[in-house]
Amino acid sequence: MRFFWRLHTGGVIQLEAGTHTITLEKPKNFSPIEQDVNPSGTSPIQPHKIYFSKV
Amino acid sequence: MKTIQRTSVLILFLILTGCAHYLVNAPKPNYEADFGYRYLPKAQTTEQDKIYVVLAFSGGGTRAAALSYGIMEKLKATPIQNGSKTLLDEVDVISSVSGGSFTAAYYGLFGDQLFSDFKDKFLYRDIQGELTQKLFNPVNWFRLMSPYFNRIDLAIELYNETVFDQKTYQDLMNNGKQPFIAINATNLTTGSQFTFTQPAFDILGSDLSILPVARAVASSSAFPILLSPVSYNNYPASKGFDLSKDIKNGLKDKYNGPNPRRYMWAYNQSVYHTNKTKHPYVHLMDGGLSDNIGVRYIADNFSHSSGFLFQRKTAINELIIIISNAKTQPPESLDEDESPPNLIDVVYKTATVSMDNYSFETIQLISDILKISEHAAREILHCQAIIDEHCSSGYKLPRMGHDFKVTLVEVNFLNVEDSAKRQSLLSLPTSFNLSEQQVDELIIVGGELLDQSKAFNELLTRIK
Repeated sequence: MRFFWRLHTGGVIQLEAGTHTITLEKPKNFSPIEQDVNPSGTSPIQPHKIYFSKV
Repeated sequence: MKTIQRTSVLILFLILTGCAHYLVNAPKPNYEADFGYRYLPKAQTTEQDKIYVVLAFSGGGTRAAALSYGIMEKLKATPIQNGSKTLLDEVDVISSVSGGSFTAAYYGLFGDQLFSDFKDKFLYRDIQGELTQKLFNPVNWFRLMSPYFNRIDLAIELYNETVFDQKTYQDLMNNGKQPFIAINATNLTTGSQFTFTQPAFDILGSDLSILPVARAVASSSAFPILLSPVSYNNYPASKGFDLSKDIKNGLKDKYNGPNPRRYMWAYNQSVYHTNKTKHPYVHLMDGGLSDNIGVRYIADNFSHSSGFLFQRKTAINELIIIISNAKTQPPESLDEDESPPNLIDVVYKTATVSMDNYSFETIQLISDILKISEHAAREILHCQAIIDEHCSSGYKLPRMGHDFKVTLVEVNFLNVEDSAKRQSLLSLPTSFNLSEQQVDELIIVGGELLDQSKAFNELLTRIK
């Protein structure tokens, strides 16, 4: 999945229930390149957090 | 002598029927990720382009085509940003069904020519009468005897030659400045929506680019029983093709998982890739059978992570969804008679009752999706205000990743204030033959209903 909504770092996104593959736009200078997540029991103020590290 | 005559007639018959075959969609041996008619953010999108407009055009024959034309005309007459452009310039996506697909496809192919040509080329014409004439042409009787040539193929020929000037999806692609046109039909086997895009054709191992747009529009408007389904070949998978992440994730979650609706969406598409032996063909009918409003495609794109709403390259301030809903409520007399309705009434009701109910649910669905998004933004702001008031730590909650205002406008005859006019519009037939006066009234009503919408006027004050 690619998000182009000019998401701010630390921004909350809303997705339908189920498994999603998350990645970031270019340049691909981060790790891991993509992550599968299946969040449950989340809310806008208690979101599932996904971390990418700059390499 | 008689034998020669008989043989000649037989040969002529075989030639005429044997040659008659629907236009076959082309195979695509090699998959190319960026090839073909697929959603891409507008080429001219800039940082200043902060408005994202999506239109949904419902089914309803010429009535629907004229109503959506009226909305387009109103958008063209609506200057924004100090008159530097019109709201029509901002339209990014049009999702259409059945009658609405004629307006959407014509605008996608010919742009502003819509406003000079389309009335005479489609809206004012007696398309039904012309189709009937074709049916009574003896040459076509022979062609219709072929099992591979049906009534719908005559309609495709008519639309292709007299409305869409034999334009193909390649022509649609060449119009880079026009919005993305999503023409929707219904897959008769799965009952699911089929949208004419290259990603859908990738699953069929096929190339959409050389398909006449008329064939897609005819598939979208092939009303059950009156017109026959439109058939497409499902070819062996293109070399290098794999199902999208969305479909794979949907399948991985199973039916009893967190999102059965997405599972069914994924399953209904995937079978045409994973089980081609069982599905060597796809038969499509009127898009109204799966969604008569054209909104499901938008809702899916709002929900699915590969949807067009996630592919925007710059931030936006406004998301505008305008629905042209040409639904009618003709006076019912069925309950006045003790005897059960006749077969024709039952067939008509069977084809339309679920369509109408589903349309209502679909509009509620997109409304709920947008409300959830707005509610989330409000919840964060509300909690942040409480934290700011009671905590001195300065802790900041994460903000919404997408921060924009949403405007949802449904243009519906039920909103016409004058009761006589409303009843007249709600009684219009679903056909491809309306009088010029009826068409003109529908065009005016489309603009007027948009004009009187509170949400639309609030939007205009923000973006004028």
